Amino acid sequence: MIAGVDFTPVWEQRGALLSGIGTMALISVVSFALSIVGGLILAGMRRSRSVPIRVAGFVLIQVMRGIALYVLLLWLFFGLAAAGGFQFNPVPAGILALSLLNSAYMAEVFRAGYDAVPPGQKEAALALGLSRWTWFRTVHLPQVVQVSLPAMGNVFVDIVKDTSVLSVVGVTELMRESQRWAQFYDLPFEFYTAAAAIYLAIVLVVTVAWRRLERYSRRHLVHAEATPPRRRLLFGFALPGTR
Amino acid sequence: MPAGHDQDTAAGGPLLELRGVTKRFGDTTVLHPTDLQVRRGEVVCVIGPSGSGKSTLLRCVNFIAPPSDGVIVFDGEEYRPPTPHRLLPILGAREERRLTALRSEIGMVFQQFNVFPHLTARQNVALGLRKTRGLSRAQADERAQAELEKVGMGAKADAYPERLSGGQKQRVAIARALALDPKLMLFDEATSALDPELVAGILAIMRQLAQDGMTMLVVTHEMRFAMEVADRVIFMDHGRIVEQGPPAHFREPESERTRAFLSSILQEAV
Repeated sequence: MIAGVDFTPVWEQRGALLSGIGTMALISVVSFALSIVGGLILAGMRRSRSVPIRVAGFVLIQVMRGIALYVLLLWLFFGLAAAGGFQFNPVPAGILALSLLNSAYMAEVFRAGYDAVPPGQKEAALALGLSRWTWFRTVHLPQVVQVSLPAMGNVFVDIVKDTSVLSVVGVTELMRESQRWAQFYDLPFEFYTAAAAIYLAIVLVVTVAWRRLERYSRRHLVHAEATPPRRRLLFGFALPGTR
Repeated sequence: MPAGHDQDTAAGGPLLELRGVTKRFGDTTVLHPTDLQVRRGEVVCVIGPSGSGKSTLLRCVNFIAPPSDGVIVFDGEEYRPPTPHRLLPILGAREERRLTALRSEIGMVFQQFNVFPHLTARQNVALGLRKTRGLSRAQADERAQAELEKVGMGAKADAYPERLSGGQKQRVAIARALALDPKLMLFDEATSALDPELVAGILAIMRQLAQDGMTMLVVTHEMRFAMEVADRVIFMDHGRIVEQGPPAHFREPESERTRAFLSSILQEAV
């Protein structure tokens, strides 16, 4: 028996934890959306016909991949302000740091997606008289996104978990709330266990939802007549032995 | 010469003319300076061993692989290799718009079909109509359906390519190209990736197209098709046109290389 384990205060502070979850969700979704945009831009730069733009894209990706979130966050929030630059609010600083770093990862995801689309698709689109922009929008991007979806889901899960780092600059997301109440009640085991369980649950929900999205995006690739018998699923994963 | 063309047909005037068209990749020249004229309504078949530059020739015509050198005249308009703008690609926008317009007048059918897998058969055909001819979605869908009927794919208009056989995919690809009323059709080994039993159906569509007066440049390994349908046959080898003439000419070809190639594929057919 562990002495004095008491989850009642966790339940009492559910309002604060829920608000932390809300902040986390908001920051995650916004950062993910911005990372997609940034990733597309960076991946596009890597594919540009212009040499300077290609080089700039390469440098940006390498730099962002080489910086830790923690470092970038402190640099943006404290570093810039101290240098007489700009004082960010915590949430924008967090979103910016998450978006910048994950843009670089997303660019790599899209790059692999680009390579997976057969070159004949572009030739056919151009031969049809589509402009490059129309080709990109109507032929290329839908196929890149479809190929990239699984890896994009991984980036999203990483972002969700990485929002916990933002607590160091005072963003009142789930981790910050947990810390605060863990100290207040002096119950670190209870509050941090709750936090871990909540992160795990959210990641599972995201994973299941994302799998559904992937399946939906592949609906035209599944032979109707070859649909496998319904499998027993747990959170979107096949149970062992049920194929 | 088939009848049924506009007034600008101008007595067998060439629709397409290549002057000294060359294609190099780095140090290798895959297409040596080549001259070629195709009259309106003419069907020209290009034969030759793989790697002889046939496909490259075709890709140069619509600038899918822009030629390194030379001039292409299509329908009275001159087109030259685009200037590469390595620093500011936007400077090439005007040239590119011109090439985009050129490509919308030339239909192309590929060996690997290259239908768009994320679109239904109808959407495949409608896309070009909407984006290059400015049709509304409803108009484009209606026209696409009509084009699919013509190639016997009307019943499969809502199917995604994944559910279609190779022959059916190629039919969709042909409908997609024909929907834009092209002045010239390019066929790049359109039957080479098909199962043998599906080849005849595609060849029948191409034959009908030729009878209807379409100007066609056809890269093919189907010697019988070339002999029956072509107004002119071109034999290419090592990036050069070696020999050309009416199909009858190829019963007694002049060049040793042509003879060797023909006997090799005839043996294959036995």
